[in-house]
Amino acid sequence: MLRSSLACALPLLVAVAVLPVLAACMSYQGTPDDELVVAIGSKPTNLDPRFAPDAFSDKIADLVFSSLLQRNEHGELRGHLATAVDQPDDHTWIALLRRDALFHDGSRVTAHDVVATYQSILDPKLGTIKRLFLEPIASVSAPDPHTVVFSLKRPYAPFPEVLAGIGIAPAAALAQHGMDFGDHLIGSGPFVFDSMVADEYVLLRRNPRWFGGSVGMEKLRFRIVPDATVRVLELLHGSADLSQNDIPPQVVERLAREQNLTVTTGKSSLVKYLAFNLEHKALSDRRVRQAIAHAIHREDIIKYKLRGYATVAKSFMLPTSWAFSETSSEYRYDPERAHSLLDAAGYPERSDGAPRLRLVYRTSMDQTAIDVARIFQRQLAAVGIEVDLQTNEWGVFFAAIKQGEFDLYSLTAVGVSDPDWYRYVLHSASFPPNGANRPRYKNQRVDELLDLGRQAASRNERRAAYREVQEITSRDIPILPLWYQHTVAVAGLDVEGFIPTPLADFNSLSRTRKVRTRDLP
Amino acid sequence: MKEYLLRRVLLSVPLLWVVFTAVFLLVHLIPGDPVDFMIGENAALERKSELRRTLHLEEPIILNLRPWTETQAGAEQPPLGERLVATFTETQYAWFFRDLRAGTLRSLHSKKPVFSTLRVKFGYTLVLAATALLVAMLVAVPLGTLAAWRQYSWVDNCSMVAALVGISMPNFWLGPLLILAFAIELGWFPVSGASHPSALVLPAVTLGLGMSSILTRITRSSVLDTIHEDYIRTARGKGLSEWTVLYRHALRTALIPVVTILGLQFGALLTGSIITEEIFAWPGLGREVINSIRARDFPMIQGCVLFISVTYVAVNTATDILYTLINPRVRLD
Repeated sequence: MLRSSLACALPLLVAVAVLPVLAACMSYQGTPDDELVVAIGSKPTNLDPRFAPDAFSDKIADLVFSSLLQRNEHGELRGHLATAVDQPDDHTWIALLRRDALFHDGSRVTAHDVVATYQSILDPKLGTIKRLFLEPIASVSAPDPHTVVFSLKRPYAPFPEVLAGIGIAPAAALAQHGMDFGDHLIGSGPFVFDSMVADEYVLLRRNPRWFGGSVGMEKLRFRIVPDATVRVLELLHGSADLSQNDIPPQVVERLAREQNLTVTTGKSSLVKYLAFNLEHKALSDRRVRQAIAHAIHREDIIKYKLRGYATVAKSFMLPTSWAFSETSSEYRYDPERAHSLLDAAGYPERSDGAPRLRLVYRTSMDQTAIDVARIFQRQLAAVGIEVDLQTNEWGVFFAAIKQGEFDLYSLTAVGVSDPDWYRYVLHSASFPPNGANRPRYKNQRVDELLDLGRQAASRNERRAAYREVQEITSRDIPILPLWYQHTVAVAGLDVEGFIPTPLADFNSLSRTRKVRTRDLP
Repeated sequence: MKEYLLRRVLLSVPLLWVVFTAVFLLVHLIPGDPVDFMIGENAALERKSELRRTLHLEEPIILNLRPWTETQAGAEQPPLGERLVATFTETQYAWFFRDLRAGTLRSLHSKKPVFSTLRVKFGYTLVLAATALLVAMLVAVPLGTLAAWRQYSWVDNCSMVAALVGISMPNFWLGPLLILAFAIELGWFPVSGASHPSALVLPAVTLGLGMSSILTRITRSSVLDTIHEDYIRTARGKGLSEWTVLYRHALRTALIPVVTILGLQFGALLTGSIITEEIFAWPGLGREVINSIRARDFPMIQGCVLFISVTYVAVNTATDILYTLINPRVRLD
């Protein structure tokens, strides 16, 4: 019996084995002409614009939903659903809506929808992080179908930032689906949500009625490819058309030499920084922090490790920003100066060859972050500072730096556009868990200036306040801005019109299209 | 047989409980706050503690000693029984089982039910694991048998060198090599993903080749043991063809250790092959486990652990039953 069953099983086994090979014969040919495939590193968890809890959710939701204001390719705020935004007094902002905007279901976008979206986020029962961004709002109302009035609890100068961060959903759909709106996404953006398969892809389709004009691609697919090497292989294979900021710099350099790929770079507001624990005895001395700043050779790291895809930074604001301070101190590579600063701070060179100082540097498991940390370690060793590198999984690393269990750590500040960001990282009221002042920096003058900057009505007043903040903190350096990481997009040769922006968003995908390769030169 | 199965099921209950409880404790010992991952570090404190309360994250992990240590001044002590009950019920551990029983166990992040998510992921992993196993068997059994049958010949030497290379080659290297050869150069298969049936081939071959190296060696040594047995000599003496001797008499006995290893490896494959799934963007259980741990998604991690442990026990029981089918001399009484 056994023999006969084995004999029966054998052809079956062979047949099953041959099946995948047969399937393979339907050979896989790149991406379709009407579809643009973007390879991304992690899965978007929720595209409901009221939540959008991670970077990819936020960026993809921006293509399905429109907010009142939007950033252009230079990172500046422009009218989007709103044609104009006025501030008649300190406590009031008025947005006038465009009249030609339609939701994907054909209904008109009205002030009533804007009010419903904002009120839904403000409702504590929804439990979204975005409620915190709307915290300055006292009430939202719609005096007519095209006007929205925001009354604030107190003057809040960075308010236009808020208007750019909330995608508008139809009031009727919000009322009907409540918490489950994420399963019935209807927006007014350039793309209509089609489907999402967790850990695989998100598929969007062209919105033929988009108020912004005609949309370049019929279909847009975000494919989740967690491994960086495989993302590169997907691009080489032609089964992905585009990847942004998701390819290691040394590989980008190699891809730039590929005939069927193009590499486009843009200025970015991603700032890599080094933070000091000011509660550490040695690091509480400004001279020690300055010595460390002078000991790091940023130009070399950018040239050799980052392959030129970064620019030295002396502020967290982009040089093109209205808030950028020209006069902030700059820390050029100067080991002699570092030696003398350490001597002056009471950490002289030891005759027995022992280090002047021992510090703990914490980093996550990100390979580029670890590589950069090793370079810091060697450069600091050259001035007599021994660095003990501690690498942890992200959750452990983050918990440690929040609790102040570090001497040094480095991270990237993401999406710094309004200088009010400084309040979150430098104000003495922002010590964790109330903010990200993880170095525990305390300076009364800086606190005053940050409060002033948030409330001042005129841009000139704000500019003066934030410039002084940058000057003081560039001397004190609780956190040292190191470099601006460029936004780097790698795309197939047939992809046209994609623009890497400072915030590395995907907004220009609405204008991106594929030209047929045979038409290429 | 029935008695054996019953005993096996009964024994697996305490085993599953120990595994589950140990992992529950370990997961809660890792630093990192799920609330930070959910609503961000800059969320308001009240909102965070409110969320922690709704998710029962403020309850003690496994034993609640509050009724014994905290007594309000002037208040009457609750009765002993009530305090004992509260010690075990007002904990995150108890809440997990309550949610599990009520069918309301949901991921902290996606808010989707844990077990329906895992079922989908398990489907993908099952397909991958079964195909990989098939690849391994189709390579290993003929190759190992041939190597034993022609011991010390060039076939034997070549297959053993190949097996050694296979064992030494890690998946994270073999995977991209296969992609380079068969997806980029030849263009036969997609690089990664699961949207096309042919996408299954490369991850299955990556996993299967690694497994087949061990299996080839085991098949070879096992067949070598049996072909020197008396009954094989008898079979040859009866004038049976060499093929019948090998296939019907030698291989049947020789396959028992192979099936043991296959069972163990299949169990391991079913619980998710994290590296291979990451490389090939295969949406299986392994990736879910890793993502849940990264995000400290406690209900999801616990759900995965429960799922994986049950699968492991089931596969091992199935392996034991398979012995009796392959070789009637084995009895499970």
